[in-house]
Order: sequence, then structure tokens, then C-alpha cells
Amino acid sequence: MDFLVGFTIFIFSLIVVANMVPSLLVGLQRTIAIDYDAVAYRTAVILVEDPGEPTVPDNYQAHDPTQYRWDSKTPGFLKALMQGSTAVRFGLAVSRESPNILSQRKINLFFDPTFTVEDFRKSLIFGSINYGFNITLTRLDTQQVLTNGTGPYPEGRYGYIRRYVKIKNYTNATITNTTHPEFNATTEYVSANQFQYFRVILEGSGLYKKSESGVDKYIYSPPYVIDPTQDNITVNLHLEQYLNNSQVNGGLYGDWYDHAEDAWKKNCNFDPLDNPADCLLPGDPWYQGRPPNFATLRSIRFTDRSGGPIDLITAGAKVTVFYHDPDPPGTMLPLPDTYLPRPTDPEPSPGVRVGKWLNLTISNIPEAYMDLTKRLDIVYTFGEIPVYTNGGTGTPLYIPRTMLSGTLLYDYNPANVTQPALSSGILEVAIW
Amino acid sequence: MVNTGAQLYTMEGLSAGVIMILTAYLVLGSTSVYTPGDTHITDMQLEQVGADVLKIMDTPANLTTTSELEQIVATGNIDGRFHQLFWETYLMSGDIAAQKTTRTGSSIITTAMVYYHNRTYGTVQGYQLSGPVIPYSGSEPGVKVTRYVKVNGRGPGMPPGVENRPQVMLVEVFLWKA
Amino acid sequence: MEGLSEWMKEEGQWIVLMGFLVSIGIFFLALILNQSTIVGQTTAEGVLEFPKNDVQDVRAQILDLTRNYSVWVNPGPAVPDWDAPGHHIRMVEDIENLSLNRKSALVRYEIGCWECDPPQPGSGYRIVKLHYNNGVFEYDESANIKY
Repeated sequence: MDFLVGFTIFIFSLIVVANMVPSLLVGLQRTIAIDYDAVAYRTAVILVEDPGEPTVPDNYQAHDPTQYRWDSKTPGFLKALMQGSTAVRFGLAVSRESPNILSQRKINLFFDPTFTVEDFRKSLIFGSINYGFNITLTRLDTQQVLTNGTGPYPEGRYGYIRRYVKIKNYTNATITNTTHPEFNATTEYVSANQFQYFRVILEGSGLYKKSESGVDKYIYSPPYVIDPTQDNITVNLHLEQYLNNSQVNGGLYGDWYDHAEDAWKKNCNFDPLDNPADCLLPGDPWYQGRPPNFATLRSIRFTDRSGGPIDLITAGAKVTVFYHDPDPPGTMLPLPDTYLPRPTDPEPSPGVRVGKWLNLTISNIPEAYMDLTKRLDIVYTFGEIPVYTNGGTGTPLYIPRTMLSGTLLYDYNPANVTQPALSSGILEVAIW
Repeated sequence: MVNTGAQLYTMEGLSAGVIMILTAYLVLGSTSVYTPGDTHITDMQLEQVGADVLKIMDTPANLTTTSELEQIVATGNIDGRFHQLFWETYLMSGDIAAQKTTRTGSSIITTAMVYYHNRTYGTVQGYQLSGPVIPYSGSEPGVKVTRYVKVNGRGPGMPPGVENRPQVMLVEVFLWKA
Repeated sequence: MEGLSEWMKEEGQWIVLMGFLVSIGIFFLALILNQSTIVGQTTAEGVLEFPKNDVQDVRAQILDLTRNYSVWVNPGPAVPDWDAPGHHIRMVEDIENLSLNRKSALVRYEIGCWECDPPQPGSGYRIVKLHYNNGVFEYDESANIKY
């Protein structure tokens, strides 16, 4: 009996205590919690402050073929590399010296859809747990949003961090008659196989060094350097303004040809009373006496300092050219590969008629071709297709058309090239 | 009627009950409920954001100019430019659909001090660059972020103790949530 | 007392032992709770403690000053003698003093050169030794800078 009493008291107090214990667990979701915020923070630091792996040091040493930057390779190459024993790490910073400034090429490669979730887990997030993640980069000037991840933010707990970044933009050179009247050619050409050349020079010693007070100094600021091996080089030629609107001496052509834009008529025996002109074929766009609205591009080649040809495309660079078809004007077409010949190929003939704009973009220039001591030239060759008199059966006439020739130095002169600018962006990392 | 021999069990039961209730009372009294602020995770995020904003303010737009922060220190905090720039840089996120915002811009208060080194007297002194836009308030702890800036000489708005020579100054920004 | 002497006997003490068992269980539970709430706390505090921004900042400033050893850009006409080589040394001393005074961090800087007057740019090196110590963390770096 007394045993029962004692036992009852014990049991009562046990029940009371057992009711109080759950309140100990209030405010706690799980007893084993993973610190997602720490993983998010670490991932954000790798993305924003680390140039990635493999990478090369930034002090312009001689090109070492065994070293390369991870962003100069294709996604397929990187995926194969991840299977092996080389460390691959997706870091988006331009260099170790410039944290919070991201490289556009690395961003493009990072958000390439070829990479899978497993690739990111292995080369960015690390750890043995299969985290869900969402990495979003928002560019504030264009409102462009790029996302990588396993899905949208979850309902429950997740770790999160936000970083503010700057993105280094590519440069471009836009050549128009208003900004560069010096490229107006003044010679007319009147015989076959005369070419006019336009050259864009990428001089390594001019890009990686600058002269200050007569002393050459290295440009040690990777965010502000024009580096053809890391950034895209773009040249936009506004041909329309040069075509027959050049400074050719109008008087050269006599009374009828007072205006430079009429220079083309000289070779055509153009008689204003005799319309159409002698050298025009029916169906030609200038049949009614309008000046020609196109240039004839024969090829675009690449040469080095001594003039020797460089096979940039086989070496891995990517060259994209778009031009305006003169008729109908307004459509931009990609340039066929025949007009980007290899060094051993002959000059393509006939050329292609290019109208208003001719836009060239080169990316992934290999480091073997561009460093402090090297020079890369882009050579545009313009030639003419003859027009025959007598409706196609007479003598060939070469109508001067492409009045563009000269040499452009692609450097830090803002009159020639838009300088590398920094745009703002926000990177958000969420891990769960 | 209670057998003294059996008081044993009663005593046992009673003492056991007392022990358990005492323990539970002690434990409940000592366990504190942790708020997210106690874990300092939000402090870490705020410090990272503040450091990022200062870093971006200290990044020049190109090779030939100085950064905005250096210009503000050199020419003085005209029209509350410092806080406005800090806010603008922080609030760049304006329309971003952030899923989780640790702090909304309107509730972050900043106050900035600039410290300089006086070679003649060998001292380090400071002056206020930008004060809080609303009076001090809030109960959450703040974080401090710093940045070194170079100036070419003494600028307007600097106290007389600043020497007129190229020097490095330290900008300290203290931020907290109102 | 009879009750006390009875209580001293062995029988029935299993109830007290049960009570002890339960209280130990409660303590153990409280211990787990205590451990679990600090997940995230020590890592966040670790991040706050590590002077990442400080070291990056000091390093960037000192290397920048070293590279611009004798030329300082953007002259201000009212500033005397700004082009003198001594300025960069004074600026590094500024950093050392500010760091020690405001952030309790010791910064020391040494510069040496190899091929100090290179016949042409690019063939000389400067060697910079940087030391940072804030009492908890220490950072040493030796950098070769092409000049």
C-alpha cells in the first residue's frame, strides 16, 4: 500500500516533468542543423573574389603553354578536366588583385547550360552533401538576370548571402566617317586586282604598358586593361559613310562629277542625258544613277608583327562577322567562312558585297599570339568586281567604291576605342 | 495506519519526484531561446554587404579618374553625398526580387569617420565625414567596415590638423539597423 | 529516526534512482539543445573575426604605392613637392599608423629591389615584403613586382 503511495507520487511528478520538457524544444526545428549560411558565404567568396582554377599569374610573363586560364577553354574541355586530377574551380573574378570585379567571359562560361548540377557541386560548392542551390547574377544596367541552380528558393530554411559586384565590359572600336575622316581613301583604282586594305592593330606593348612622363609602366590593373586574350575585341565599320562620300577631290572628275559621291560615274561614261549609264547592267541597284551602296569585301586575315599570316581560327579563337546585305538594306547576315581564309588559302574571289555596317568580333585569342612582345593585325581586304560595258560583253570597268583605307591602333585612346567600363551587378547565392 | 517500514517507499518516491522537478526547473530556467540575432549570422551578412559597398565606392570607373569615395573625402561631404552614394550603391537592388533581405535599405543607418595621421605630432586623429541621417536609435548591434583612401593633399572640409601632403586616410563606416 | 534509518536501507531505492535517471536525461537534452543553437554562430563569428577585407585592402594599397614608386598621378598644383620619391614611404607609414591605432593591427612593409635601375622597363624587379598581424591572425607575403 505504501509502496503504491510512494510510487504514485513518483509517477505524478514524472508526468509533470514530462509535460514541461517539450517546452525545452520550442524554437528548435531540428536537433541536427546544417549551417547553410556558411556554405553560401563560402560559395559567394569563391565566385566573387577568386579568379578560379586553373589560372595564370598576372604579371605578363612569357607565355607558358602548360598554364592557361580556365575561361579560355570550352565547357566540354572543362568537364573532361573535372573527371581527372586537375583542380577546377569556378571563380569569376578578373584576377586575384581585383576582388568583386567579375570578368564577362567567365560569367558567360559559368552560366553555360552545358554544365550540370553535379559539376557545380564538385567545382564550386564542395562538400559531401548534395546541396540544393540557386546562384543568380543580376546586371543592373541591362536588367539581365542569369541563374544557375537546382530550382527556386525552397519553403523552409536556407542559407543566403548577397554580394555587390562590378562587371568588366568588353571594348569596341566603332569607325565612322564623322569620327574618323582620316580613313577616307583618296586614291581611286582603275584596274584589276587592286586592293584596298584596312588594318586594325593590336599592339601588345601598347595594350599592356603605357607611357607616363616618358617612362613605360605596366598597367597593373586587370579590371582596366584591354586584354585581347581575356576580352572580346570588336570592330564595327560604318561602311555606308565611306562609300563614295570620301574626300576625293571632286574636281578630279570634271564638271559632271563635282561631288565626291559622283566619283563612281567617271569610269562609267555617265551622261546625265543618257540614262542608264553605259556601264550599268539592268537590275543593278545603281541602275537609275544612284551611287553604289556596297563595298566588296574579299577577305579578313590576321597577321603578326612581321606581316606573316596567323591561323587564328585553327588555334582556337572564335571570329564572328556580321555585315549588312546591301539589298535589301537592313538585314544583317553572318559572313561565310570562305571570307576568313586560312593562311594557305588563296584570296577568295569574287568578294561579297557588304553594305552599311561590317561588324567583327574576336574572342578567345590564344595567349601564344598576344602578349607584351607580340602584335596582332586584323587586315580587311577590299577589292572590286568589275562591271562590263555593253550590257555585259564589253570592257571591264572598275568603279571606285570602297573608299576606306588606313590603320587603326586599338589602344587606350578613347577616340578610337570605348574604354573598359565597369557595370554594377548583384550576385545572390542560396543554399539548402 | 502507515507502516513505518513502508514509509520507505513514500520517501523514495517523494524524493525522486522532488529531484526531477527541481532539475526541470533549473534547466528551464537556464536554457535561453536563441533569436537569430544572437547567432550573429545577420551581422556577418551586414558586414559583408557594408564592406562590398565601400569597396565598390572605392573602385574608380577607369584608369584616369579617382574613385567616388576618394573624391568625397577630398572635396568634403557636400549635400550629404556620402550617405546618398552609400545608400544608392546599397539600394542598387531596388527592383530585384530578392527572396530574403536581411535588411531593407530604409532602415540602415550609417555614420562615417575619417582618420588621418599627423606626422608632426605623431598622432592619429579623426573627423566626422557623414553623420546619421536620423538620430541614433535601434537596439541591434552595429558593424564597422573600413577602407583606406589616398588623397593628394588637404581638401576643403578637413580640419586643420590634416597636413597638406599626399597621404592615406582611413574611412570608417559604422552601420546598424534602426 | 526510524524513517531515516529505514531510508538508508537498500530496498526501494530504485525509485530514487529512476528519478535520477530522468533528471540526467533532462540535463542531457538541455546539453544537446545548447550545442545545436550554436550551429551557425561560431561560423558567423569566425567570419566576422577574420580580417579578410582588412588584409585585402592593406595589400592592395601597399602594392599600388610600391608600383607607383616615384610617380604619383594627378598633380594638384597647390600641393608642394608631390612628385618627390619620399611620399610613398610616408603614405605607407600613414597606413601603418592608422592600422595600429584604429584597428589594432600591425602592418610592416619592406621593399628591396633587384636591378633597381633597369636599363629598360621590364627587366627589373622590386621585392615587397608585407606583414600583417592583428593579434589573432597573421599574414605574410613576399611579392615580386616587375618594374
